[in-house]
Amino acid sequence: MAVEAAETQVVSLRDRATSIATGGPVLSFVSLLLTVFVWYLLIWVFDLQPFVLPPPHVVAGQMWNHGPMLLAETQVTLLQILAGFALSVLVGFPIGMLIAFSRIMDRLLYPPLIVSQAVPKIALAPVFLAWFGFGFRTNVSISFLIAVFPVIINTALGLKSLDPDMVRLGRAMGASRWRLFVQIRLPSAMPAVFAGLKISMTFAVIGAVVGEFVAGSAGLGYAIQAATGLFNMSLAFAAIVAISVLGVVLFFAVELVERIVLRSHPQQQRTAA
Amino acid sequence: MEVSGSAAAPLLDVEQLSKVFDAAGTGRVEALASIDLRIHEGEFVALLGPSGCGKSTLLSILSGLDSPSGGTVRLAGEPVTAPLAQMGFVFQRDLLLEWRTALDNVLMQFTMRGADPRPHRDAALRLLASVGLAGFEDKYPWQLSGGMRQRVAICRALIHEPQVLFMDEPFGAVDALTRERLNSDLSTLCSEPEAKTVLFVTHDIDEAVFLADRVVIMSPRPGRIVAEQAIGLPKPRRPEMRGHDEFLHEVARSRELLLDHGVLRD
Ligand SMILES: Nc1ncnc2c1ncn2[C@@H]1O[C@H](COP(=O)(O)OP(=O)(O)OP(=O)(O)O)[C@@H](O)[C@H]1O
Ligand SMILES: [Mg+2]
Repeated sequence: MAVEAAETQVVSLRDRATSIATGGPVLSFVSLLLTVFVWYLLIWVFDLQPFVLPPPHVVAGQMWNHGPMLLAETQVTLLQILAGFALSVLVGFPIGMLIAFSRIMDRLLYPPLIVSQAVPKIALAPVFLAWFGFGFRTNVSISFLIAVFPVIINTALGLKSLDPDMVRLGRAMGASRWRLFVQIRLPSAMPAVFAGLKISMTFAVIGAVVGEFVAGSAGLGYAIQAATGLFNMSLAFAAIVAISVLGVVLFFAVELVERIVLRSHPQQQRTAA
Repeated sequence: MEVSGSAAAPLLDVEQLSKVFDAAGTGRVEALASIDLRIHEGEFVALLGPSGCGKSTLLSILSGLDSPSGGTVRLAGEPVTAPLAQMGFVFQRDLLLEWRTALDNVLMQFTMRGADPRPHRDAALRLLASVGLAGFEDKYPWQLSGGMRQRVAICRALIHEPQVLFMDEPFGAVDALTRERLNSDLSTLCSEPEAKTVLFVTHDIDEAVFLADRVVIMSPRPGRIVAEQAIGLPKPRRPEMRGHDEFLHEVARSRELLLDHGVLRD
């Protein structure tokens, strides 16, 4: 239950981040104000007690008071996310390439990959806990396990979806397979790859936080559980805000890299203009 | 209606060429049957035929991108077994790389061959300017109109001065006015400074007559060459020629040939 909730929360966070990205700074400020307003409105309409839903200014106060603690926990979570994401890219990209270029690998790897997409990987969290114990390794493993799939699938699809006429064009220009890959196939696939990386990053955040729920002894996910366990809702919400900010910042970091790498791709040009 | 070619050995020599597609599950398709064709250096040949008669297939085989089921293709006497080393190919779609500028798309002809494009920069700029794209060399394809994009594709196919230029309905997707404009631009490009060897696929009678030294007419599937028509109009062809009696006469003759061979009516 908690796990599912966390997942939908981060997914909706991702959607919001995308809309913020396209809306510009003024709109994102407005949407932030709106969120705070709705938050107050909910409390007022349903007459919610602070131990159920603490008001924003109390949460802000908690963030101020527990600043150093939250920062330390954020650092723990951040390291796990980055490790999970980096592993996903390092492992997922080559596997995606293998699937795209080898028919045997495609037949061999793709079906189990698709099937395993349907399996909630989070269900494996307790197993990882049993294997690796509490802490960093378990959390990174969960993060990696969830985040690697979008990288593999988007890389494979991006590389495979090249227009066959482009291949003919390349052959007509005497290109070797290598030059065709470097100059046409890979650049054509990059938008799909980056779409995968953005999903992967948000999944890496989910994975790390879920890991901390299940097998954490530190980190923001652990902090949320610890705080709710003590009925300190305002501190729990302070940690949730911290995770949200972290997720948004990481998402934009990937998007920034995308903008730099794909600066001459048409999609980038149009949004930049 | 055989047109007597020049006495010199042909650059491209096609003998009894046939092509059958026989992929599992899709059934047997006889695309081309007993094609004989000779193309001389400096000749502009238009392949005119109905949709599905195998024009693209023929172009792929002549350029070495595909292999025949029977018969032979020779380039300057040598059998063609791999994509021709020195050819230009223009497809129906421009196939520009969206992330490269117009200039870099033209220079792609060299980078894809593993050659240094820098010595060819000036030539590429001149070529782009000659088709009215001066000032657009640093634009990306999505900043250009369909006609401009196809011009870039043509420059890309010509920049390395290919031995043979293959064009597969390059103007099929541009509007009628742009098409007339591109036709005369192409005629100039291919006759100056010296005549280029071009094989041009179209199913537009006017376009075939306007561009070609020789129009080769193909029958519906399986594609065969059923007639050839020499076009003696002076080159490069100018837009106003479309109104001249000689031009209209050739177009009428082409239409008659198509009628005679059951392309326009059974
Ligand atoms: N790879 C293929 N496999 C099976 N059949 C094919 C293949 N390529 C072409 N054909 C068939 O061969 C015939 C000739 O095709 P082709 O594309 O050469 O015609 P075309 O004259 O270029 O037509 P259009 O003017 O519409 O472009 C068609 O009936 C087509 O269905
Ligand atoms: Mg065709």
